[in-house]
Amino acid sequence: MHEKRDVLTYFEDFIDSRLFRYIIGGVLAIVGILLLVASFAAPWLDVPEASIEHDAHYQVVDVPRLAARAGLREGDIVVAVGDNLINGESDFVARTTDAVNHVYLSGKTTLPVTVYRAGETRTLNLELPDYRYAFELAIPQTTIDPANVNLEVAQLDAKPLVDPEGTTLSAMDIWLGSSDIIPTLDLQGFVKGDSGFGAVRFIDRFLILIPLGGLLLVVIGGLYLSSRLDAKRALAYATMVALVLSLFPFFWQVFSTGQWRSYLLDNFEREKDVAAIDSDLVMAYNINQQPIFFEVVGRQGETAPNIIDATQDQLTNAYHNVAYRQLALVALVTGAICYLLVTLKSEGMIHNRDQLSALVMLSPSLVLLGIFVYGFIAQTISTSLTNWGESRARPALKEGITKTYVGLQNYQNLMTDITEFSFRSSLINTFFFTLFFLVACIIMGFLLAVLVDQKVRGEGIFRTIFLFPMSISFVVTGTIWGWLLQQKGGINILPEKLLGLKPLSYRWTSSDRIIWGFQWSDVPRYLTYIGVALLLYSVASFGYQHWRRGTRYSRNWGILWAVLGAFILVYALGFWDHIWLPLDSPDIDKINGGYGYNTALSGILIAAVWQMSGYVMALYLAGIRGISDDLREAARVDGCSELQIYRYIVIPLLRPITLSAIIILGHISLKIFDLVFAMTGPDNNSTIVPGILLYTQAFRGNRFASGAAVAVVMLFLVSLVIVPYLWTTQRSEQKS
Amino acid sequence: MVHKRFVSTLVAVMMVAALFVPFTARAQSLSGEMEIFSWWSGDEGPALEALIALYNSKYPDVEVINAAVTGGSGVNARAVLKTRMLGGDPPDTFQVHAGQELTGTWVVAERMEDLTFLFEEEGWFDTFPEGLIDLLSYEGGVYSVPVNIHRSNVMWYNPAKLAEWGIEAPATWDDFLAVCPTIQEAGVTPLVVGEAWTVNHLWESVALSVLGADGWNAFWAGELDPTGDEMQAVWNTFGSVLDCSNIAEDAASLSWQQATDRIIEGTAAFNVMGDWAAGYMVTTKGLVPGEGFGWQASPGTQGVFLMLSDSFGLPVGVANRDNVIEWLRLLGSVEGQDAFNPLKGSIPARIDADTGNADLYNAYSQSAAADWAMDTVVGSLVHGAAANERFGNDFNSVMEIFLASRDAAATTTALGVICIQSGACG
Repeated sequence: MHEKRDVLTYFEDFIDSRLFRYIIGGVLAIVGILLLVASFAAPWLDVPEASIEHDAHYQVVDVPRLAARAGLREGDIVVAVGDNLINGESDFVARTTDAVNHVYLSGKTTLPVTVYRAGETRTLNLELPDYRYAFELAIPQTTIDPANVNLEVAQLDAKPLVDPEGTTLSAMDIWLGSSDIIPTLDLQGFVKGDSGFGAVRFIDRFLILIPLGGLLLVVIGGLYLSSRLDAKRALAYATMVALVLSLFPFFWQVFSTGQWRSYLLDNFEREKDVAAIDSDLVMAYNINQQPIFFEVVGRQGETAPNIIDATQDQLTNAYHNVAYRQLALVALVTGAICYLLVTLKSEGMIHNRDQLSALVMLSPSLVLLGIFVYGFIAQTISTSLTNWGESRARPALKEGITKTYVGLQNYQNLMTDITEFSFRSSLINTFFFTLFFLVACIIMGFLLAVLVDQKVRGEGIFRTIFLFPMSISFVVTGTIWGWLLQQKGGINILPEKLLGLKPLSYRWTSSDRIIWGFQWSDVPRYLTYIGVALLLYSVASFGYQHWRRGTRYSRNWGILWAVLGAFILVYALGFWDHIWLPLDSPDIDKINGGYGYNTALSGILIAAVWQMSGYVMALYLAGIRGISDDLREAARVDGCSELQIYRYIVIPLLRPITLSAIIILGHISLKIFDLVFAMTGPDNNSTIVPGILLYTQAFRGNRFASGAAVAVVMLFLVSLVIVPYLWTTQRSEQKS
Repeated sequence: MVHKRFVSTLVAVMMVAALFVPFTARAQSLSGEMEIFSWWSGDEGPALEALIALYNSKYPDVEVINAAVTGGSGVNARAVLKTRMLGGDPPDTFQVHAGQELTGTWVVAERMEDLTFLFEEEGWFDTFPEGLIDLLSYEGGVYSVPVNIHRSNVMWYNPAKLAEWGIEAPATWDDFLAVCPTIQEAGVTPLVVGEAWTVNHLWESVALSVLGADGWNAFWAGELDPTGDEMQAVWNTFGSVLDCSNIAEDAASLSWQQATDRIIEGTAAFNVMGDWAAGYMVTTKGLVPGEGFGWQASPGTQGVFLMLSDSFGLPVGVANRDNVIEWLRLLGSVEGQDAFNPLKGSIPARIDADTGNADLYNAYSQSAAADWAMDTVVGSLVHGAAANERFGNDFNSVMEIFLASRDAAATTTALGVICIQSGACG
């Protein structure tokens, strides 16, 4: 049959043609070359010195909030410079218990200084002739006695800050202090080194990504041009590279803050010498609490070279406005559109009018889903990386407030902060709730299905009765069961009312008893053990199989796997200690026995199981009805008892139904809100779940970023259940 | 700022000018709509309806939209309000607890209009107590009009039952702890608490008695160390008081009404609850104040009025500003306050309202009004007067830490942290 040649056919031919290949490959390669050239010329990186605000000088300070939170003890004297302590607005925090208590400060020409001590606060404004000068605050020794709260702060003479060799710092220097200069100061997060200070220069190591991305694009374009890569792959790779490049400013902004912080503090706490962090990336904070990256380039006694520095905002703006980003966007759009075309072509969809029109019909819903589901997920994740609602200086509900990215700070707070006790309880409650809810619903549902399946008379009525609770809203279920399960009413007084026995006194929903309790700081360790054990097992079995095959090649693979396993083991142990959970808050374990299975969940479990087990019954009943009677008959003929039929025929055949039930119930229980809210209310730690916490934190406490972080954690938990399910169903669909 | 002041001066001048126009002319000039956003529905609905009826009788051409979102203490309404404000769709006027819930959330966000001109025109600076005006103010401006006053530190009991058990209402918490074993021996819960927020509610009364009014104010001013000895003493006392309560039994599953029922039934001796409990016992339970139930200031807080107040403000940029201003004028008037409060079971914020009128106000309300005029006024934590929303929310975590650990030191550490994080007290 001779095909009719229309526009679409010509279009298809064009996609297959060499011309297409030359054009697209050429565009990619040229964009790559331009990126390479641009990154070496790098005109946008010369942030002019004139643009730097005069007061934008830097000093290495800790995140004051962390310092004060972790460090304050009774009897300490905390000196905070800036507007307030702890919440990220303070420029500088010093803590000392030293009897002499000389505290040197520098950084700004006017310093509101606050000295905190148990029950006492003194505030004074210090006038510094120059930021290079320091003040010495002498705090009389008598005030060390906690009982004596007569605190006096004397303002002593301003002294010029000099390094031990007598060189006065120049105006643009960024100094890293050392214990030589400030001998009596026990600064948190301050460099405790012996080599004085070095001049430091800004450098952004991430910039290497730009020429690297350009190079990759050139390579991909070249390979495509010379037909070593097929169109689909080449375009997919190019699109990914371009995506990373165009999102790069965002990543830089987000992850340059939170993540690197612990790295830096870690170095400082180990009293690393300034000299020892030779050409290392060093992060410090400027007076606006913005992190700045430095490279140490000068040493004590050397003349400070020219320093190029800028605030984070200036750099971010620079990144946003430069040509490379537009180049990356060109590559992204070209790559994505062409990839789509090539894919449509290879799937035969361009020529097939039906499929094409189906795609056109689907596109509105795809766009809506893209915006209202995936777009908002992206926005929630983005919000969770900011400090919206966490900063006192920026009222959460003000119009057009700036939201600064703080990296994973909110997540770290949720995991470690003493006041986020409720969040950790909610995680543990969700774990136990989901576990028992799934097990109970599945067992109950299965038993009900088996009973209803026994060809009883009035089966329809039973089915309706069991399924009916599902049609009731969780709020109604929660309210009624809340009444039924009160300690001095409902079920507990049934024996008394009916039989005249002593009433029960079980606290179904109000119990504060915790069983299987543990300490929060143990959790990472347990998780590490489990993870490492799983990993070692897979490595060992993999290695063992290769070893047994005995060929030299596979033996090498076995060794490689073993080494990899050992590496991961070592890394994982360090990982928890240093990166994920620095546990900078020793207070966390002050809450003894606060974590575990809280028995007040039992009441909620009863209500939830009551409501949902009928649904599981319906699922199972459909499944059981789907099992052919021939199979049962055959089994009976072979001499199976009824029990054996269930054990060997019915239950194995119901496995897909069980999986569906686990998915459906699992995501209900992980997202549960209304039932718990109706039964035990908000703010009830025994039964709190992440959904309620998210609601109260964001909409009552105005902590939108933290609430978003809770939401992301919930999404992650749900995706743990959903994603493997989608993956397996897609695989089985592909197979069939 | 200058611009704003100019506008408010202009508005004030126009208002004064408007006073010379005959009243009917003014009423006729108002038309259009006005949306009132509140959490008053159900039991509290009629009080709001009375106000709206009064407003409509004066301005019949204004269509009032009553946008109430149910949920005690506005737990749901406040969430809806925030999404509306963030979405650029503010209601014409909304209910908000006077104090930090207003200033700490909305005024600092520059979303409220300064109502100083209205206060000056109506002479409200003299008719509302100074402590209340302070709570409504932020950096020199006044931002909402208080409608009512509730008292938080009230201890309720059943006089007949107390006589039966041979005890008296305790004057201090020490007295209470002394009499506690006696009550327990009678098989009665000495102190009944309910779900989470009622425990916080008890805490603020205990804290007020241990710290005193000055200490309480010092705490909110950041002058009292939240981790210091005084605060630890508060938590220790609170722990002992809780040991005499039903916290370890069924507290978590009781609403405040159910807790109050225990007092009426005589299965519990005392309850610390805000004076909406009086409204509940009089209206719903049909009891006579002083006979069916008795009250006193919660132990150790005699002469101190731990208050909370509902108020209405004027968001920036609303469509029906003129209508709202007349609504606020009505709310602050004696007429409006006397129409609303008898139905709500609260007392008027104005000290010159008709509280002596026994037809309007019952015995409890009259005694509360007398205290309101005389006592030292301090703001409630739980009900948004003294604490901003973040503190109020995070305080629940502190309470949970205490209930889980019963460790005053760990608890005050957490309290210190939220003080500084929220900026409410540090």
